[in-house]
Amino acid sequence: MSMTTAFSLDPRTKLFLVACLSSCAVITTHWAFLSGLWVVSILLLLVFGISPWDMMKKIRLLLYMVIFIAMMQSIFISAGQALITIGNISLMTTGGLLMAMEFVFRMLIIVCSAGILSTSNSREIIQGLIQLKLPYELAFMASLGIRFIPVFAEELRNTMTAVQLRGIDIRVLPWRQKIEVMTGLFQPVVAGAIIKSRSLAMSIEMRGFRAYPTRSSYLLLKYERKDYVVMICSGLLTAILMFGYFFWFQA
Amino acid sequence: MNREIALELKNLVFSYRPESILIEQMNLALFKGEAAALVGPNGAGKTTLGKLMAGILKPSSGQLIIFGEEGKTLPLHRIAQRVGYCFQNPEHQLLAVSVEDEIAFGLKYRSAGQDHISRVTESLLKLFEIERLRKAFPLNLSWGEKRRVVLAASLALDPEFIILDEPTNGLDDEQIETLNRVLGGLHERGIGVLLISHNQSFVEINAQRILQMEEGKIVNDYCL
Amino acid sequence: MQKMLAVEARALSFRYQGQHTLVLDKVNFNLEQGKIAAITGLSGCGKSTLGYCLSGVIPRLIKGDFSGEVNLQGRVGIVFQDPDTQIFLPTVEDELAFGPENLCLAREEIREIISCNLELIGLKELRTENPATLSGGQKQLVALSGVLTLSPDILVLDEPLSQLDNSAKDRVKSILLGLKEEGKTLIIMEHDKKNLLLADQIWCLERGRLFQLPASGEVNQGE
Repeated sequence: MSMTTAFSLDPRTKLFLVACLSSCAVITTHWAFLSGLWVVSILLLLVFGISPWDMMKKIRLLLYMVIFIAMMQSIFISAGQALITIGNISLMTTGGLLMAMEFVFRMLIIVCSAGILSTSNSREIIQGLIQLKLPYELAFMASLGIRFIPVFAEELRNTMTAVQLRGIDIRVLPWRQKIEVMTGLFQPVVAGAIIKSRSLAMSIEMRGFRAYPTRSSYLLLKYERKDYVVMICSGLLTAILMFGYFFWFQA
Repeated sequence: MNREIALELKNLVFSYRPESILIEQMNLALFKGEAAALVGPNGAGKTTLGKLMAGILKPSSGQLIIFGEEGKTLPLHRIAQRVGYCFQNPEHQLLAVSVEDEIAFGLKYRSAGQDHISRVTESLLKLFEIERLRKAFPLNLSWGEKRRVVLAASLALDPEFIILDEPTNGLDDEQIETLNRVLGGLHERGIGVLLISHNQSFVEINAQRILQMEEGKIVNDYCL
Repeated sequence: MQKMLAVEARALSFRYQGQHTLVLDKVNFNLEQGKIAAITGLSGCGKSTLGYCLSGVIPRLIKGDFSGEVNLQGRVGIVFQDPDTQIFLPTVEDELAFGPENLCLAREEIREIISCNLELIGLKELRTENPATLSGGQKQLVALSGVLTLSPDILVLDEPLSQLDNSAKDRVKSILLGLKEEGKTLIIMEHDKKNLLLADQIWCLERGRLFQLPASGEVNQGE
């Protein structure tokens, strides 16, 4: 059930695109430039057939965290003019706010990049990395490592369902009991995720993984003309943007 | 014959994606105290239907009525107090660090009295013949033992209806015997059961009504 | 007149780390090439553990007190009990390709193997589906095919039929008999008596001890 997009590119092209986007986001520090980059990455999501709105909804929790961290940064960085103060403590400063905006935009760009990569399935990304000459063990391990996150998330979701199936509404429990239940669940959830990962590793090993120093592949990726076009364009654009950035913003 | 309805589906449809509908326009009523079995080939949608009836999945359209209440708006923890559910994979339902705690879990956080909790726990440990495992870490048990622990924990809530997904999976003959005995006991106490199972002899022993499912539809509904 | 032993285990003992009781206590087991052995026993008796020992998972991947000797003549494959922990790739096809890829087979050959196996096990329509969205029984079939594509000489199967419907059960049984015809050696952990008819020999594991039961026909008459 791979996501069909009108714009199906080689995963390596997507990796290149994402590399361009995120290096721009990491190198530059001006909020206006970063917000422009964010708009570009939103447009890219649309091109790849992902609804940015749905995506933001999915990662709502992460967004709250980003905003929270941004506010903390704003509190502790007392550069520029104070905007909100309580007594002598400035709660928000212009410097802090700009810093926070940079941080938020950077995170948003990285999230959008991940969205672009998610239009290829994990096997395709692995194959992309392998054909980029990454050792196959590393490519698979990285993908399994990333897979641990959804495994863990699923484990957590199952557990919350299971708690409710015992007739418990965790939201209405008094705080002491809430903490008790959550800490009590910690052990089975973590143990469950570890046991699952270990069993998976066992199965992979028993199916001959790493039996030989090389490995063949059923899936073979081939660059098409559009891949070259996209890569050249995005490479050039990145170079121009970088040049422009250092020329205009840093001068 | 006047039988009260426990769970009822009205024009219920379920799908994850609009292009592939898993449950099609289903109308079905399960009665209080009834022992029914849901059978059919792999991938027919039996588990999906079971999860819908237990409120774990919400219907895409149509109605689910649980003991006279609209199921769509009932929170899962409220449904669970009347309708129990055991997953095909018992590991998904193990929440505590010992078998004892596992069975007591639901009661403990619903402020039941200590006496009541220990009485229920003891009787369930005994019923499922797992007294010797009371201190064991549930995730370290064998598959069959895990299943029994999960079923015991669900029964601790004293549900009026219980849905079991492939309960004989990973059980040996002796344990299936125990399960048969437990199910017989539930029947006597007037607790309704829906068994999702491939095991024909098990179904024949424990169910009076067979619901045969194929490709998201009930194709046959008869009494034994 | 003895045929070649494919699997030979002598004085196998095993205890999991941090536990007191021996799961296996000086177990001996022999199986000729081209035969099917079924191992039965109550749930929790250590059938899976014995499977791990006979396939080399113990002591290679699981730690504990292990002693004894296992000799295997040929390449071994094992299908674990829980299909969820054996499936990790995004399509059924990828899952089946994983083993042959590890054996460095050519692409064309892998394609052939995948098609053959999907046909054999009856999953042809699901070739490009994501296995995570399949039903329990279908996952079990995918997990089994994922090992069959490696064409192992010795196959250890931990309750391979538990989640299957009757038609899938029959299909898998006939596949297993077909493998036997080809000279493969099979060890099946199973406790459903109906499925034991498949086996040439039946072993029972009880309190860490393994002993051989009379062949399947006699078991049925005994009931």
